[in-house]
Amino acid sequence: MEVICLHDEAFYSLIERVVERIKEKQNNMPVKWISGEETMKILRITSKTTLQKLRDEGKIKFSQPEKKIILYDMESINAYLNKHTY
Amino acid sequence: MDEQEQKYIDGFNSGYLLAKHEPTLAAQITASPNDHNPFFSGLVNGKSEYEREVREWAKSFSRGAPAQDDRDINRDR
Repeated sequence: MEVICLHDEAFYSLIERVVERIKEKQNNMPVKWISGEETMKILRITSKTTLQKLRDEGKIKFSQPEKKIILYDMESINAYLNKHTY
Repeated sequence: MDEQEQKYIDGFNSGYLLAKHEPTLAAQITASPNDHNPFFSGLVNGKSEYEREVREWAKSFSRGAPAQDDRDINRDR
C-alpha cells in the first residue's frame, strides 16, 4: 500500500468537498448535530438546567461522544418545536 | 463556542454523513488515528455515532417489534 502525505488543510478541504457532494445528492440536507449553545438559541431558552431537563426527559435526542462534549440532533429539536407550537 | 469546538462539530457531522452514505470511505479515512486534530476526532466520533445508531436500530428490530405485524399478516391468509 502506498501512503500519500497531504497537508492537513488539503486533507480537510478534500473531506469537506466530499461531504458537500453528498449533501448535494441528498438535496442539501441541513446540519444534523449542533452545539448546546445553538440548541439553546433555537429553543429560546437561557438556562442550561432547562436544557439538561429536556435531555434527561428524552425530549430531544443528543449524543455525548466525549465527557465534556454534548451535541444535539437538529431533527429532534425541530420535532420538539413542532410538537409545542400551536 | 471556540474555533476548536466548531471544528470538532464540523468533523462530527462529516463523519456521521460519511458513515451513512459512504461507509467504506469513512472507514478508510478514519483508519489512521490522529487525536491531535479536533476535526479528525469529531470525524471518528461522528462515524461511531452513526454506527451505534445502526446497532441500536438492528437490536430493536430483532427484539421482535415486527413480529406482531407478521402475526397479523398470517392471520389474514
